[in-house]
Amino acid sequence: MIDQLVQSKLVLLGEMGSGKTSLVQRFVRGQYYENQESTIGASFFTKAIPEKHVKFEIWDTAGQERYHSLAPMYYRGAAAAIVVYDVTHPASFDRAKKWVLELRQNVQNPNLIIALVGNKVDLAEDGARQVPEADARTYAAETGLLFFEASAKTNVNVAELFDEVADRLPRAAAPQQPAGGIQLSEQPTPVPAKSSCC
Amino acid sequence: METIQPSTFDLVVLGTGLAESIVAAAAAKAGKSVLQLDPSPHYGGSWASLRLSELRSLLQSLSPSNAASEGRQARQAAASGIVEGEIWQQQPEADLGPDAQYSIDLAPKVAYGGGPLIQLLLGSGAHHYLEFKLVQGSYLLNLGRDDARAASQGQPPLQTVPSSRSDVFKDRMLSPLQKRSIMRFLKAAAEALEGQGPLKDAFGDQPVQELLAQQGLDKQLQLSVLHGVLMADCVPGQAPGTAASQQQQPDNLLPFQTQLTAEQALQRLRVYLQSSGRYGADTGPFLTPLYGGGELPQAFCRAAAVAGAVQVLRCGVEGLVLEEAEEGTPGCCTGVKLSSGQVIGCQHLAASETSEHLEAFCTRGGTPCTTLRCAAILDGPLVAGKQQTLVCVLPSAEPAAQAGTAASPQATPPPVVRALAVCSSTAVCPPGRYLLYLWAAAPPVGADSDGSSAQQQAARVLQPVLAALADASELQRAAAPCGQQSAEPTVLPAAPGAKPRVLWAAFYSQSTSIRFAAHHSSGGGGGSQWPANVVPCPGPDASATFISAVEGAKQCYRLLFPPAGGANVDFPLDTRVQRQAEQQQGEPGDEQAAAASGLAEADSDDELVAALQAALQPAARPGIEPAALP
Ligand SMILES: Cc1cc2nc3c(=O)[nH]c(=O)nc-3n(C[C@H](O)[C@H](O)[C@H](O)COP(=O)(O)OP(=O)(O)OC[C@H]3O[C@@H](n4cnc5c(N)ncnc54)[C@H](O)[C@@H]3O)c2cc1C
Ligand SMILES: Nc1nc2c(ncn2[C@@H]2O[C@H](COP(=O)(O)OP(=O)(O)OP(=O)(O)O)[C@@H](O)[C@H]2O)c(=O)[nH]1
Ligand SMILES: [Mg+2]
Repeated sequence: MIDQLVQSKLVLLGEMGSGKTSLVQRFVRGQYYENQESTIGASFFTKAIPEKHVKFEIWDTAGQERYHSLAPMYYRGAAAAIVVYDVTHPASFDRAKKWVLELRQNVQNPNLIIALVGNKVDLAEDGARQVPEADARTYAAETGLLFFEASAKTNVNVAELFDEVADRLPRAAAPQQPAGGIQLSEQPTPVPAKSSCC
Repeated sequence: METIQPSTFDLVVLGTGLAESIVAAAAAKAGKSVLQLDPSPHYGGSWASLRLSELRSLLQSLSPSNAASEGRQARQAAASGIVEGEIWQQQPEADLGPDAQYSIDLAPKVAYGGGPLIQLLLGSGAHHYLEFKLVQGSYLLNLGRDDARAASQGQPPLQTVPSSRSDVFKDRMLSPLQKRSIMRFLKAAAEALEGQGPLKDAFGDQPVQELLAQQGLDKQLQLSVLHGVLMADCVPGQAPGTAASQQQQPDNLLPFQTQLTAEQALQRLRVYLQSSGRYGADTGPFLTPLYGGGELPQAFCRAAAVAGAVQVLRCGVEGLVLEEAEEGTPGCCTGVKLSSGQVIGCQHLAASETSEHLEAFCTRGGTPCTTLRCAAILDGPLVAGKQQTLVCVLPSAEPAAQAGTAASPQATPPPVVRALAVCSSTAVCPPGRYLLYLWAAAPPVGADSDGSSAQQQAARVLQPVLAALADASELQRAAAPCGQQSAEPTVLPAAPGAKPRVLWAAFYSQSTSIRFAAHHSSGGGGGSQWPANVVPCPGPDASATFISAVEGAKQCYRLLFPPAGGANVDFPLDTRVQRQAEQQQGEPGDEQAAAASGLAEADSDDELVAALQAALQPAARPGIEPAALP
């Protein structure tokens, strides 16, 4: 196969303020903002990892999860989900577990990759850690999740996280949804030219 | 329930149905602060796609014995506009497969690929969130014909209707003469769209079938054009001769009336021409979304959220906060009181017309408008080899004979029924299972039908149609809740040529468009009890496409936020597309060549084809907003 990028939808889930947007900003742009604003307008990013033949379409929530009203459409067709919690907030870990359940119940793709990420691990050194790493690691192992502790701020494990997800994606561009769906675009699809006899 | 922040909004939207969500997205896009609420745990309201178990419990909550026990679900049913329902299933009970793989539309419709819904999706950016499949075939089943009745065992005699431009030429059931007459008509219509040709003034406000008949289309072609191209909504209850224009009708006029005027038909024709062939040579005009129609409101909701709207599901509303106005004038809605007790202030309110909070304003209701619906699970495709198909079923001429009730002299003929078949290729059911939707406008409740006969109306009207399309012989009305499922459904080989079997069917009635029509016909609240800043959003009607819902939503938006700069100011979600359309103008589309090459396969009348193509192309170039007709 030629170097063709497989488009993969990746969704972010997690408690408000756990650092979803910051992790993606770090991964996509190499940037970090001390006072990242809470996401209202959805940020949407694409980022290719050419050496892994993957182009991620990364969906950030649009604030719908604020009142627990995320549309199932959000995770439909997802190849991977990153569920983020904040290691300094036990409640965010509980919320993460609920997201994992919801994903398992609602995503039909049996190959869905779920990565659990304990973010803000830079704060753990200051003694602010509230979620023991072992607890989360055990939970992730039992539930079949990838697991990372990461920091968007100090750039710990961010590239590793996305690389690992990319590695786990089914190689053969396994369709996450029924094949041949039409994606609308402003320009109509160029019609494949037919060979004509004359 | 968390307190909602902030506590005042420019617009509060009650409901997450398609029209409500379009209004929410448009308002958010225009910079208004928007709060959208829904008491149910899912998006979509009357337009939702449900799992099998969800649809089951929704309908079971309607049966009188369950009325008290399942209040929440009954309320949910009321919010979806469902007023009656019953479940039938195969005996012995069939294995339907995993519940979670079902996504059954409460209100199925198809989208014109270049129609107003798609344009709004493109204009709002919501198209990124959806994928579609093409409807692969469009058919007509005329139950009034002898061959239809004779074929009660084998495949029903479906006639192809031209749903792509070359269909006309390929169709072997059409005579060369018929092909010529339909082509001549389509060509003249395309010219009329440009304000030219022999028919440029012919598309007036007469019923379209009068024009079709005058243009020499025989009955079969009239049906094809009406139902396959124009998707005309047939009005039941207007038997021939009882209609207004009794004098000198052409004698090849159809026994079905439509409300479509020739002028409206011309606009539909434009949409049709913009749609067919848009997604590949030789493709039909209709699309259906992956995961079901319930994805559409969700996509607009996400577009609204991206533009800053706040959405809260599971949020009941206790009532509206109304400000009394002076005697005789309608008041004003200043807020909504949530079940949590919180009061949210608002400048404007848009609500699903099924919302109980609008009841108080409906002093003079319109005619109740009910859609009879059936969602059936089959063990095989409706048309072999086709995954998504659309069928228009014309009833047999003898009214009420098949319904098993005493036919009164004034009995109205049974309505025209739409059928849409979909399968796992759109991720709406497990592999090996097939969904068949039927729907029709309910005949008006006449003097002959009391409450009890209305009770079973959906099953009474649609069951014979289901039986004509599929093998429903093993189907019985379900007595008790039921349903164990295994992981994978077993697929029994069907006899070749045999109809697919019906394993399960839900019949229900959805009541819509009462308040919407009542409100909007009164000129947006003037002179009625409606508070000036409240509009009802239309629910799903019996039409086949999303056009009426989209138009209704735009109308709602304009009533709430009248365009300041006059008619030039357009709908917020339209702008992007329009800008692009302007840029595209003048560019020759590669579509032209492609469409022509597709026609190389056509089996006759090459010159006519070329002429038609040339005539159609300017009008058919997609992305261009319909210009105002002269
Ligand atoms: C599967 C998929 C999912 C997407 N999900 C999102 C998303 O969640 N959020 C997102 O912002 N973009 C999303 N997009 C749109 C994508 O980001 C745009 O194509 C990209 O931003 C480049 O836009 P453009 O150069 O084509 O300019 P345009 O398409 O003209 O866009 C102009 C501006 O609008 C923004 N925009 C474009 N599409 C959307 C959209 N759907 N929602 C909100 N803003 C949009 C762009 O970021 C840009 O700032 C999605 C695209 C795909 C294929
Ligand atoms: N110390 C530290 N702070 C972080 C880290 N990642 C994010 N933050 C901060 O945490 C806050 C929230 O981060 P966001 O990225 O906005 O979190 P989010 O999950 O996108 O939040 P919502 O959009 O509200 O759902 C911001 O102030 C970030 O600067 C991290 O790794 N370490
Ligand atoms: Mg964020």
